[in-house]
Amino acid sequence: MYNNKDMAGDFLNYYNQYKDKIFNYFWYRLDFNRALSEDMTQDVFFKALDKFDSFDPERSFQAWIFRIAKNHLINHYRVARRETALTEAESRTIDAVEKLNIDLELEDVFRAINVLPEKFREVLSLRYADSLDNGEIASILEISEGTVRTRICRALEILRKSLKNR
Amino acid sequence: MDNLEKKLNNLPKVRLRRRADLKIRFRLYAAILKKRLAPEKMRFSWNFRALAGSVLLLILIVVPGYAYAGTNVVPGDFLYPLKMKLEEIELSLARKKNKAEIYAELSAKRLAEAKVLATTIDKPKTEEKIKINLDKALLLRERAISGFSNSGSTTLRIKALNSQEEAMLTDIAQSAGVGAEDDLIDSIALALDKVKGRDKDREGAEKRGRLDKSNEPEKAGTEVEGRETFFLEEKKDPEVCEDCDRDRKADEKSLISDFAPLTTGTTTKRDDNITDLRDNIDRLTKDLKKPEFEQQDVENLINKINNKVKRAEEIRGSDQEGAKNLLRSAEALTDNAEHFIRKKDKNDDRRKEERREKEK
Repeated sequence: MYNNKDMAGDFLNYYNQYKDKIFNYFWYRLDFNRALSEDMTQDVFFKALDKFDSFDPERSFQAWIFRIAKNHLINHYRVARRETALTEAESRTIDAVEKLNIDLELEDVFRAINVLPEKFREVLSLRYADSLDNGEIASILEISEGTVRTRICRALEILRKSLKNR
Repeated sequence: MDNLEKKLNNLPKVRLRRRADLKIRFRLYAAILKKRLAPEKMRFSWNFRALAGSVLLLILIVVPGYAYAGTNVVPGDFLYPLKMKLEEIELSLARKKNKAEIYAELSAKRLAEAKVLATTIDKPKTEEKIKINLDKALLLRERAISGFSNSGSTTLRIKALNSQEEAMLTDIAQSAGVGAEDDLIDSIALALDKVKGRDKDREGAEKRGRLDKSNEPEKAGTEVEGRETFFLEEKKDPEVCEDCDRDRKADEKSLISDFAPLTTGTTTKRDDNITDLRDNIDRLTKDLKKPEFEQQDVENLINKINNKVKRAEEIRGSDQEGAKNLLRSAEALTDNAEHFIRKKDKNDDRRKEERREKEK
């Protein structure tokens, strides 16, 4: 357990290490909305700070902070009822892609990812956007590594089909 | 890894904008400080609040209580104005019939303060403060006696007040000693005269002397009237009765006029008074020549009294009022001399004797 003296320094180190990953995580799940993702990132680190006393330093901070982010996202969806229409999501994707000056092929991938069911989108973004391995994804999503592998395979399969149809 | 996976691996990695990063970082710092300090701060805060509340409560209850009741809160003390204010409030809240008692208490308080001040007489302006307190005490005493008289209180209460104040004034005289300023010694002696009622006796004696001096038949009525007034004065306490006060002022004027014949060399009652006073001084000198009294003090005090009489005789032609006051002061001092003189510690004498015996 942390004492107050060590807490501040360690927490700020963790923040520096994971701020972009958490932001990235939200950006891919919140229709590439930068402002909302920033707010969500801030909320997550504040929640983490609140609970940092209970954080066990022997365990992975990354898994812990992503779990908080995931729960926060679920709450966000629940409260805001952000079951956005597919067309709306696609149009926002296009805006974000244009801003990022991504090549046309990747633009298609973006669009395809954005219309994936949430559980596939989640594993794909964690795996490829956040560059986490299966074990880390498993600990964040609190599922087995096998399930992670299966979901990724399934997500890629759907994505391929989707991209072929475009 | 197929083409899709390569593409996915090349998905853009967005970063938090610097501005957003700074905003979050700043807020986190603040939250960390709050979180780090909050538990202790809260504890401290509540402890502090509780402590501050207790102290405030204590201050609100104890300080005024101490200021009001404490005899150590004397003129010059920072709590003294508070004490005065509380007394004012007490007086304003008091019922009319209780006011006399409060005046009596306040008079005793002023004397108690003077007593405390007299123990620190070396400090600057202390003698002035004692004199002011004595004046206040006498004024309050007059109001108390007036109140007692109006409310039909018995003379027992007045006697008790006088007895209490006499004891206090005796202590003040003892603390001030012969070494104090002449004005202070006079104030104490005259105050002692007042509480002992001797000032009235003197005024009465002066008045009687003045009346006895006149043998003219047409003035007989006045004489009888005057005597009646004198006895009434004794009953009513001339100090507190406005009519009596007027009478007393009139008496004083006539007493001043008593000095007039002296300038012409005619023998009058005033000469007799001075002679009586000199006799009293001689008697006092003999009485005080006892081993229990500090002889240096005795000598100093007798000199002070003699100087007053001498000065009164010198100025009675030019300043009758001044001469009268000097004589009054000399009389008061003669009557209360022993209160000012330090008494030797009997134990010291015993110890000296023991030492001598041992040496032998």
